[in-house]
Amino acid sequence: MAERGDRMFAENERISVRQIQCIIMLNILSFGFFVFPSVFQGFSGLEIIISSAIGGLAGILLSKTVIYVCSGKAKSLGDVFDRYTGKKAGFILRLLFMLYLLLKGSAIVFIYSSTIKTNSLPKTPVTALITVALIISVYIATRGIETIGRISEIFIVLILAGILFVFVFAAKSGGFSNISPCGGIGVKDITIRGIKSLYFFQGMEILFILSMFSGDKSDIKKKDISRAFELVWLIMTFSAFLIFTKLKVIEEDFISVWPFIKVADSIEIPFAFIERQDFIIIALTTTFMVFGVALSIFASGVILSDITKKFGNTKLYSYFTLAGVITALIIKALFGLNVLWTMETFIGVFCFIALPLILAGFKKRKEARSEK
Amino acid sequence: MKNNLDNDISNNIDEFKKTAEDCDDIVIREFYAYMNKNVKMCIIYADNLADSQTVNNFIMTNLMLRSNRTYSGKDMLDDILMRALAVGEAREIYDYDALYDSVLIGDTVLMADGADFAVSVSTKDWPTRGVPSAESEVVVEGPKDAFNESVSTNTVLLRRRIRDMNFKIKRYAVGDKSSVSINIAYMKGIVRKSVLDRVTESIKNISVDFIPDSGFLAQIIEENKITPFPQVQLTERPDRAAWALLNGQVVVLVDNTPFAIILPVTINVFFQAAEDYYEKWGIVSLVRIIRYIAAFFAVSLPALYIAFTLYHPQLIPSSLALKIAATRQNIPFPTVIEVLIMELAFELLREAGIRLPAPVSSTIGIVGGIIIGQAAVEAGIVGPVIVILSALTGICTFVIPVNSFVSGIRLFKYVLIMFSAVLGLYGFVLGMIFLMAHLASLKSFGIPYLYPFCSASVNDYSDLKDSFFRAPLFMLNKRGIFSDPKARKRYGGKR
Repeated sequence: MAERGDRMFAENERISVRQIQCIIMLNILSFGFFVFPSVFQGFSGLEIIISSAIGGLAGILLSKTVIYVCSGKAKSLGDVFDRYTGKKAGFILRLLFMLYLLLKGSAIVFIYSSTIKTNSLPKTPVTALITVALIISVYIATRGIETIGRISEIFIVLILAGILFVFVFAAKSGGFSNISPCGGIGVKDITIRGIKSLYFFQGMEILFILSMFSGDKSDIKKKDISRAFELVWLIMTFSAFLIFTKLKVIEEDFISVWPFIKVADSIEIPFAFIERQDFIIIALTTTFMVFGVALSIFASGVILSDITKKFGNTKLYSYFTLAGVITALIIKALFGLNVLWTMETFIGVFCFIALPLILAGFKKRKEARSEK
Repeated sequence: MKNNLDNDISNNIDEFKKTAEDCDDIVIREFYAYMNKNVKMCIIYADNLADSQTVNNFIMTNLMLRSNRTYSGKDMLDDILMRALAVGEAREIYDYDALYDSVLIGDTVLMADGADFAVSVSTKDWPTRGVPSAESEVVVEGPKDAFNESVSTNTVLLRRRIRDMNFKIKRYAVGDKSSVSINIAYMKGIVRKSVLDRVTESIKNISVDFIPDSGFLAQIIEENKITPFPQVQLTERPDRAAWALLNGQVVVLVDNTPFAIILPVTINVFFQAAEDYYEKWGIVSLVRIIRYIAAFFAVSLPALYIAFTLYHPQLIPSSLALKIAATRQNIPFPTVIEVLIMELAFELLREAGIRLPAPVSSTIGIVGGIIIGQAAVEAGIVGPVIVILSALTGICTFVIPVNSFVSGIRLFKYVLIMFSAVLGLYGFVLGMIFLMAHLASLKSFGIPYLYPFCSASVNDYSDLKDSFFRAPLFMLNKRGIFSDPKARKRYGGKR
């Protein structure tokens, strides 16, 4: 273990499996914090079954690819695409994937900044918020995967503690509806389009990218990978559980059965501390926004460097992808597009193209193996 | 310009005199050997840098009065080196550069006619302080001695503590105009080889006129030269340096400076005081937590005040919010300006206090803190809350044991003030993320700066036992991340 760590320190651009887990968690939370509540409310009946099925299939395919990359059989994401789909299709897939990440970064920074403006800073122009958030995000992205890994490890502890506090105090003050930041901008306005299984991609996509940076390839054990997957699936299952049982029901059960809530309910907390949960919400909102955008910029930078055959030189490419995010925001401002809608539609198109290609690739390889 | 010494001593003396023109403190003494009057000899040394008693009693007396050798030239000098010089350290030198260096570090150079080399005899006797008491890292319980400006004394102070042949010291001379002796000390078998190589390489590659101080050297060898946060630790305590050596860190001793450089470091090191290991774990753990809280307050208190009062007053408890509002009623400045005035006033007081002699600096403290503070509040220029806040922020900076780290915090405090002034709590959180990202991006000779708060799994989380808390000593049975992975066991096992 120590020796592996030594290599991790000695070599640049290497992170541990634990750090990968933390980054996945942050990525899921950063997008889910705002979008998940709206997804829950947008789902209904048959949609859940269809989206879960498609999401599950996509998840299985992606996880297979991740294991493939982790086991050292492939050098990079592009390598995987090329092997399964051929060079031309691989190029298109990489490009689409990068565009999706740029759109996602734009969506996150726009939605969060708009919400912050509406809820707390009505006099501050949204462009100021977006600019500052983008500067910090791109700073993180350009520090490289090591920095992202380390900072995620620290922030995930703070974030989970913050979320726990929010839940406890929200329960004490009367319900989860008060804590949803979506309430500020009206969740009904956020249209859920495209493939509803979008949330299944959260985590997977980043895991996909990160797997290329994890430790020494020979050190990556199946157990480590499965640990990372367990985490992702745990969160997904929890999300699905929330969807199926409806948020309100959960809320009531949560309060009645969770002993911690009861304890919190019986303690008189000084300084009207329940009101202070706003501070935690502000901290969480800002953190999720910055990390969500930073991860998107970094991941798209990785893909861009892969396209230009200079894999690993992500610092420069992160600056390029920042330009991509800004362009997406300008397009949004000029044409009044709903970035979330655009991104989700794009995901639909992406899946429509990518899934058949990857499935065909698997089939082709299977045939080749059986011939051997 | 020729560099090698000549057979003819007259040429060598002339060349030296030419170079040492107007250097009246350099003594050039020409004489003939006692039993061989045909052989001209010469000693050269710097007055007061070389010990005149050693020169007179153990060099001159032996050569002029007691030596009965009849050799000449090269053989004579060889014989003198082997039989006549009653001094511990002596070596042959062949060029002018080495000759000048020897004279300028206090050695005495002996030349003989017919020999194309000289003998450098160690006669150093520089004026130095004795072993002083620690001033910037004072402890209540623990050793009181500290390093002084002599690298030899500092080496002795370490040797006295670590009596082990694995304790190694490598000497290097650095400086293009004036070479300074730099000693790299480490424990063979415990030090991480990659770190040692990196340190040695960076010191070998230095090209500057002169190294005036260890802080100067630290800035040259640090990886990130832009950041305000230190990536090495300076200490004046030999016990601390010895502890670091046994933890696998490298200690760099620089001549003419009473501070040793310890590297690599992590942020955790800056919250550890020397006496943390001399006291019981319970109280040390409490103090450690207080230090971390103090660091947070030192960097964030003014920024938080601005964010809460300007943008989010609803988050302040009502009674407190009313009190703050009441004290600010007649203040002519906006909150941000008010905070900046007090912070800058505190910085002025701190700077004035440091430069002045101790009795005067205490007066400055009284005048600044009590009289001006009180007068400013009564005059309605600033509110009492701001005075309390600035004082508290200042006190928090004094709680952190390592001054160089405090400088980084002091600087970043203003960045956070700016962020909070523009975007309130969102700005504050953004600023904190920026700070954390910056710290996470730093490395000290390959070791992540934020370790063990990240990547702790590398050493099986054992370094967390000496971070926010300090576990009982029997539990600190593993060396830290600085040591070689094969030498992690501290107690009860083979290295």
